[in-house]
Amino acid sequence: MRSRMLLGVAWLAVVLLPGATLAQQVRGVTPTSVRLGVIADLSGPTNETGNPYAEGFKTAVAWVNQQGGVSGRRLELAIEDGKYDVAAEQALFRKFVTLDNVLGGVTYTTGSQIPLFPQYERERFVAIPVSLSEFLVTPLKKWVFSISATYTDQVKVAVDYAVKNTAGRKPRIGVVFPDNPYGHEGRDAARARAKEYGFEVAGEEIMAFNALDATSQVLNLKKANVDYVIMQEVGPTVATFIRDASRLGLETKVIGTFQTVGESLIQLSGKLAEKYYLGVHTFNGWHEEAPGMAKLREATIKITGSDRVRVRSYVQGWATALVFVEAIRLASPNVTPDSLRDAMERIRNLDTGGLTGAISFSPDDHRGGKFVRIFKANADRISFDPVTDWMAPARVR
Amino acid sequence: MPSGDFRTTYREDRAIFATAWTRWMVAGFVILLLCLPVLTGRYVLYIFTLAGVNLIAATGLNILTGNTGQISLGQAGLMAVGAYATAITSTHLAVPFPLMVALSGVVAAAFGLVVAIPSLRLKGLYLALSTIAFQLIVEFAIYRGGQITGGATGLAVPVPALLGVPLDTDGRYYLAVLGAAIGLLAFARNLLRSRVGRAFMAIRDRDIAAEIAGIDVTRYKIVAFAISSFYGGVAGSLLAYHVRYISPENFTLFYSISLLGMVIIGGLGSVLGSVLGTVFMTLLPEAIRLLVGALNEALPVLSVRFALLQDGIFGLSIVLFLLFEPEGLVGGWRSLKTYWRTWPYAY
Repeated sequence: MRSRMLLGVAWLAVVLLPGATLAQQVRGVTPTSVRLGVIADLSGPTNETGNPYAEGFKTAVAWVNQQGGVSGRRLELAIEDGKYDVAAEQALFRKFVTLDNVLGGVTYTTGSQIPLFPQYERERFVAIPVSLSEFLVTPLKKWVFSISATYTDQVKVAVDYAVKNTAGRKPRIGVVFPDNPYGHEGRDAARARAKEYGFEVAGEEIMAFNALDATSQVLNLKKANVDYVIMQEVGPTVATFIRDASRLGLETKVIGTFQTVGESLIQLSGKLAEKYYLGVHTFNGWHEEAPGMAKLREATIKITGSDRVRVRSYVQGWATALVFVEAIRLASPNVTPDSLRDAMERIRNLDTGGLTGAISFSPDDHRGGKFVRIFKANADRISFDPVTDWMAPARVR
Repeated sequence: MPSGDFRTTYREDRAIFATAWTRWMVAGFVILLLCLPVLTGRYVLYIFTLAGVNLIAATGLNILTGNTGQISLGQAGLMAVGAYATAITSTHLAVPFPLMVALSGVVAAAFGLVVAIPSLRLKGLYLALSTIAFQLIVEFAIYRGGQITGGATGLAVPVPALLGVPLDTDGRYYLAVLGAAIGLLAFARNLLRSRVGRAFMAIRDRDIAAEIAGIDVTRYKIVAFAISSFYGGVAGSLLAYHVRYISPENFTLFYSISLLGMVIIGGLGSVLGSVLGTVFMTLLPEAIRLLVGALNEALPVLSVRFALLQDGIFGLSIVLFLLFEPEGLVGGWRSLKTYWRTWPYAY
């Protein structure tokens, strides 16, 4: 009987003691390593952005480790598939902070962010979401940072472009978006910007990411006689739309926001993409002649062994990793969730070497980048060439 | 194990767990579940709490589909009704947690009566279609609900409190859900052994014969829908308090299909089936994820492919299951018990 009691006490000790010791360590940080986490859509409707993003982040981390890590610490990485599912992403976030010992990192969908905001705060998790939603940075969230101009900024620039390029009258603008928070942001931004200029959006159409037919949307917008269609969608959806627009004779210019700019769009649409499409994005492409991009190309080819052209979300993943690296460097040697956050806010004019504009944060402003660029499709090279320089939304007089 | 199983009183005959062995096993299992917060970490508790919520919804669906034979693909819609009833009410009124959960169940039951009406004339695929329509209408209504439902953005849910104790840790909330699940499972088990449960089964097996035998088919179908919807509403309310932020993306048609999958894989018509099916369906994705993660370590070059494999493996396991064990996990469990009991004889 006594031996059984001793066994019971020993079992309890074994079970409880590790928990006690773990609680004293800093989550994700050891003297020789820092662990970051990435939740990306690797198999859901936006996986053509999610997979390159994860690959870019992972390769950047491998490159940094090859160069000796950050201030003497190796970077470790946990990557999980969020499948663009809000519930799955929340569960994975819990896993990161309870099981996987992740210090900070990347989450993915726009829809997950609102439920995650209180959790970032509770768990003291520095997050740079892949989503570029305006509400990530407005109003300010202590633990959330965005390295790029938001979807709202992109839509504003799209409307500005339409206004500038329509002579003698106000442009007739249509908006196409999916029925989720990501889509609604595009719709609301277009409405608000048009109102600032003194006109109304001429047509609004809902189109799911995986829609294979856009006939009704195209016909409605044709009836509304639109000059420009702003699409807050993903690449394949734009390809479907362009195909049906061409088939049904809708003469319009499609301006797609960030998530539409992808090589799959050109592969699906070919020459039609050149004719119809303009994309708004905040990162430069693989072929850009810039020192940071050259380094990215060289390191990517060396580490992965493949010189296949990487898409822009790869560059986004790479740049995000560099931002974390800089913050960890500034926070070293005493890296904790709080010191990482403070270090993030101390980043000023971080030069990514031409991957994107300079990135700056401050305690009052977690919007790292404010500039976008408009690109047009190049079907022969399967790439996007810039049409404008870096620009921010214009001031409407 | 006793060699003979003699019941000498009516009370013994009526007992849910017939032998002392079964009673000890169940008690031990429940004690193990109660000790889980001490034995494991927060992520495991989070998953188990989700499993508990799914279990309540699946049990309700099993009563309707497994026992009464009314196929329903709208259980997630009823969960949404319960969840949104909780979220909307708790932002304006301070209702105690147990009462709020029960009220959400009642609201969902009221909506369930609406779904019950087509069931009185429709069967099989047509009933399934009408429940899908209900599911889609609920989703649509939530998206268009403006300020009331929060539209696509969703609603926040406050932290629940039980007897003055805030249930703000994973461990405490897990215990609350465990208690609710045990209570509702016990109710379901007793319901199915009662007159009402037998009426349900008569309707499932041959409703015309049931009608002729004097069972009020209309009344019992409505009761089945109401009870099943109550379970769905309670599950939705508990889910809302668990994730503390709900949006229409939490309650999709795919979720309804998953719940039906849990019931079918576990075994139609039995409470144990609901338990086994829920545990299997909740833990299988985790197991696959661990497997894929391990494979990622070994073969990182194929990491892109493996993410897509997850869904494939999941679907394949369900299909294999249905091919080789059509009665579900309960059927497999019963076969195992029979084999064990009658070994070395075949019969």
